[in-house]
Amino acid sequence: MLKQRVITALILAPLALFAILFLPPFAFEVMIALIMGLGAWEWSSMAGMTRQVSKSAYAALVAGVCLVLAFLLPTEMIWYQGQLNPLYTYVLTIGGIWWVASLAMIIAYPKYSSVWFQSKVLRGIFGLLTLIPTWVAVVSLRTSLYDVDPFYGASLIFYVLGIVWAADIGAFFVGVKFGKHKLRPRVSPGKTFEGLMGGIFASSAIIAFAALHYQVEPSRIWLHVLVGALTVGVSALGDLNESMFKRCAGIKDSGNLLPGHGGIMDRIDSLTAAFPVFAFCYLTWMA
Amino acid sequence: MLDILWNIGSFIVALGLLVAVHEWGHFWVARRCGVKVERFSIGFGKPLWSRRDKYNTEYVIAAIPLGGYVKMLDERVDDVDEQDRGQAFNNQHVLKRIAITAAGPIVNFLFAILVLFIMYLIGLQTIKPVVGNIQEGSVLSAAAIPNNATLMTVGKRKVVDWEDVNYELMSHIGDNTLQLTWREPDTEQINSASVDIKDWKFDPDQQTPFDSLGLVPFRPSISNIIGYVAKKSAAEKIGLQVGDEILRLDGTSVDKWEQIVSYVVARPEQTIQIDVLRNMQNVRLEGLIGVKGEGESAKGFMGFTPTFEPWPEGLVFTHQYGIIDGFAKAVDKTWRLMTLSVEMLGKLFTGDVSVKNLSGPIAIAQGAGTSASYGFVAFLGFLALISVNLGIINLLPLPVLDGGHLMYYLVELVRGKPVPDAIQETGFKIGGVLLLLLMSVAIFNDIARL
Repeated sequence: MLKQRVITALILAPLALFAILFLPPFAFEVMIALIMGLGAWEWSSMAGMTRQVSKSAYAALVAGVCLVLAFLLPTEMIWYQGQLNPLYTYVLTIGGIWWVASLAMIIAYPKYSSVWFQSKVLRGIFGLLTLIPTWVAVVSLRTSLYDVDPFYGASLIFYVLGIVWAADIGAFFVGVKFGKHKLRPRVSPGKTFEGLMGGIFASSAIIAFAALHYQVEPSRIWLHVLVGALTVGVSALGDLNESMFKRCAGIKDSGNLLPGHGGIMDRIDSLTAAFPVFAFCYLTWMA
Repeated sequence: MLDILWNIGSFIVALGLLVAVHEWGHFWVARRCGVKVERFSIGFGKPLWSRRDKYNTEYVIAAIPLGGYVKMLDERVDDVDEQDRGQAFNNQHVLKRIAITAAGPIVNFLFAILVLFIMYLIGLQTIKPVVGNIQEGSVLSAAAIPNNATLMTVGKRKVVDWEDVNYELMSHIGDNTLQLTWREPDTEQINSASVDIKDWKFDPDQQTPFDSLGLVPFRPSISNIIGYVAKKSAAEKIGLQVGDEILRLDGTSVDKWEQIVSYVVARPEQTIQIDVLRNMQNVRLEGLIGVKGEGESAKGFMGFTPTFEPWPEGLVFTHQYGIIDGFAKAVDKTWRLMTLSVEMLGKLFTGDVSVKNLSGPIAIAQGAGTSASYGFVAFLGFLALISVNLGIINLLPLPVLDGGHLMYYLVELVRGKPVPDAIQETGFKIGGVLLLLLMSVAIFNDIARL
C-alpha cells in the first residue's frame, strides 16, 4: 500500500512540477480543467449520483465551464493593466462566500444538513462552487504578472502548495518523532500536541520565507501573515468539507484514480479551499 | 555583561510575577467553580521545584520562564474516574468556563491597578511637559508653540508630564490632525492649535515620537564646567579636574559643550591644548585625546562630563496622592493603558503603525532592566504597563490565547453546543501561525534594534 502510494507520488510529482513551471498558459488552463473534470466525476458520487450518464454529464459540465472560460478569454487578457478580469473576480468572490457558508455548515452539522442532504441538485451545485473557483484561482495566480516574469505566477502556486503541504508534512513528522501529549485521545488518537505544533511551525516557516522572497514591505507584513495563516486554516476546512459530503454519501475514498492515494478529490480537497481563498485575498489586498 | 545579567534578572522577576498573577486568576476562579486543578506551573518545561497541597494540586516552578499554565482535569485529555466527573473542566457550564478563562486577563488588569496605586502612594518623580523648542520645518512648526510653553492637552486628554505626552502622541499616529493646547510662558494665556500631521513619519528604529515631530523637551542648559572626570581617562591624564571651565581648545574659544564634544570626537589620539579657568586663574593643559572604537569608527574620547544647571523651580515634581485619590488615579491610568493598547493594536492592524513597533522579550527585558535601575517606583510603572499588555494580548480572539477560548465559549453559549473539535483545531492552526510569526517579527525587531 505504502509502496504503491510512493510510486504514484513519484510519477505525479514531476509531472505536476513540469506542468506548473513550463506548460504554456493555455495548455495549463486545459490541464487544470481536466483535473477539475476528474474531481467532478468523483464529486458526483458524493452528491449521490449513481448513473454513469449523469456522472459523466456532471464531469463534462465542470470541465466544460472551465474550458469555455479558457476559450472566451485569451490568457493574456486574464490580467489587464494589473486588474483581474471582472468575471474571474466575480467567480472568486462567489468561491470565497461559498467557503464561509461551508464553515457555517460544518459548524452546524448535522443540524440543517437534511435541507441539502435530500437534494442531489444542491449537492451538485456545492461541487460547482468548490471546483470552478479553484480553476479560476489557479489560472489567475499562474498568469499573474506573466508578461513581466513567466515564473512569478508559478512561484505563487508553489507558495500555496507549500503552506498547505508544510502543515501536513510538519504535523506528520514531528508527530511521529516527538508526539507525546495526545490532543483528544478518544476522538482522534493519532493527533498529538507536538504534531499540531510541528504543522504550525512548518507553515510559519514557509510564510516567513515567502515574506523574504517577495520582499513584503514592513507595513504590509501583517497582511501577508494574516493571509498565510488564513490559507493554512482554510485548507483544513477543505478537508472537513469533503469529509462531510463523503460521510453523507457513505463512502470512504472519493475514488480510486490514484493508486495508493484513493481519489483525486482526496488529494486536492485542501487545495480546493486554499486556492480560491488565497487568490481572493491576493486579489483584494496584495496585487 | 553585568548589564545583561541585570536585564535578565529584572525580566525574570517581572515576567514571573505577571505570569504568576495571570495563572493565579485562572486557578482561583477554577477552585471557586469546583474544578480540580492538577498543576499550577510558572514557567514551562522541566520542573525546578514542586510541591503538593492537600487537594493534590502540584505547584511547579519550571525552567523556561516565558509563561506558565494551570492544568485542570479535563475528560477530553485525561482518563477521569466516575466520581471525579463533576470536577472536570469540560463538564462545567459554559458560563463557569468563561469565568475561569476570563479570570487570567482580568486579574492582570486588577494587578496593574494595585501596582499603580502603590506607585502613587510612594510618589513618582516626573518632569512637566515644558517645550524647549520646536525645530524649524518640522511637523509641529506650523503650530507656533513658543519656547518654554507648557503643554496642557494633547488630543482630547490632559497631560501633566512627558510620559503622558508620549502616550497621547503615540495614540495619534496615523491620524490627520493633532489638537494641542499650551500655556504661554509669560502671559499664562492658554492657546491651542490644530496641526496637520498627515506627513508625520515615525520610525521607531531611528527616533522617538518627539524627535520625529520636531518637539524638543526643555532641559536645563549645560555649562562648560567639568562635572566629572573618569578614572584613568584621557581627561585625567591631561590633568583636567572637576570644576575646570573650558575656555579654548587649541587656541579656539568654545562657548557651548556641544562644540567641545564634536571637536574631541573628530580627533582621536591627537594632541590637544586646553585652556581652562581654575580657581579664577587661567591654566593651560596639553595631552593626548583618547580613543573609542577601531579603524573607521574610531572616535576621540575624553572621559569627562559637564555640569548641568539645576532644573527651574516646579518643573520637576512628584506624583503623590492619598489613598482615595491615588486609587482613583490608578484606575484611571490603568484604563488609559488598556484603551491605548487596544488603539495601538488596531493601528497595527490597519497599517497606520508599522510592525517595526512590535517589541518582543528582549525589548521587554531591556525595559525591565532600565526601569529597575531607575528605582523601585519606575519598575512598578513598567510592571503595570506590561501587565495591562499581557491582559489585552491574551484577550485577542486568537485560538491558543484566552480570547480564542472565550470566542469558542461565546459561540457555544449562543448555539447551545460546543464548537466541533475539527473547527477548534483549524482555529488553533490559524492562531498558532499568526502568533508564531508575530513573535518572530517582534524578536527580529528586538535584535535589529540591539
